[in-house]
Amino acid sequence: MKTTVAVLSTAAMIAALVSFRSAPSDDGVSFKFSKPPVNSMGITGSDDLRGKPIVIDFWGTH
Amino acid sequence: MPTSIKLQEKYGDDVQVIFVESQAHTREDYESFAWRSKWMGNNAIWTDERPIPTVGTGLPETALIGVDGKVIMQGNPGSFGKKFEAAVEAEVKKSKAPPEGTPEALKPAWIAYMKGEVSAALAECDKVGSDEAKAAHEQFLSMAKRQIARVKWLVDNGYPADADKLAGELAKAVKGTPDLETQVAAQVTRLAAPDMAAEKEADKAWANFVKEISKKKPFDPANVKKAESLDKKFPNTNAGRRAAHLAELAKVKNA
Repeated sequence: MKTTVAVLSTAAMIAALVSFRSAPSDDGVSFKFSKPPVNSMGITGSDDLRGKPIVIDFWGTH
Repeated sequence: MPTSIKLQEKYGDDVQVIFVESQAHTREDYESFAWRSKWMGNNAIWTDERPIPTVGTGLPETALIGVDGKVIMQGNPGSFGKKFEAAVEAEVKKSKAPPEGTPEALKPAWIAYMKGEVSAALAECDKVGSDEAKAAHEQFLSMAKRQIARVKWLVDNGYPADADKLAGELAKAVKGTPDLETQVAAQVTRLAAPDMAAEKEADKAWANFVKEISKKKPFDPANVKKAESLDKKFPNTNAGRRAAHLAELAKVKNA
């Protein structure tokens, strides 16, 4: 397993779904998943994440 | 535990973590791996589709896309140190303020929108009346419609508790905007229908089960047995199918 491993302070998970947030310009990255990701909860691509910071972790199971 | 999981659990819905399996393993393989590693039970999503191209030659690689949709950092996370976490924190802060460059006259509209007051935000835009205000009006409408579409997805896919919560917020947010009110009301009606009762009960049981096992040996035989009994207890429900799927994932042998 190769992923980032570092130490952060522990914090509780916030399970809120509602996201009325700042959503600026449209000239950033754009993507749409061809099939729903695991645990997608209705997220289909970048349009659903407008105005939200996205962390992408490229990893492998080996 | 990967930093990305810790970030997801720290910031909840304020950040979206996307794990991209990049070694051509099957969906069952990486989903099973994530459960076995106790990384599930949060908002992170898992895919094998790359939202953006990688820039390095190996793994791991991490990227941060800021609130303006632009890539802020990308590379081997080992080279970022604490800068990555600081950048995430700064972006979360930005996401709670009107977009940079918003005209003064439109700031009240953005502030209303971010407080969850969609109709008030639309009214503020109409009051300003400029081209920028018209564009913001369309943007608020579009974002509200996406939220409503998400409620529909949650109902369709057997997440009534999450759908209820979001629909409740939206119902307040769009009060006074008839078209949006109608769309939200349609989902509220679906959620209140008698045939949703079994889905609600199953969803609640599944959510409690995930909370209980996600950080404690999810594939322990006793937990697998519980998953199988959830499937039997809630036949023909989405949550029952999720429980059955978990029991199947426990059989996957990760290398």
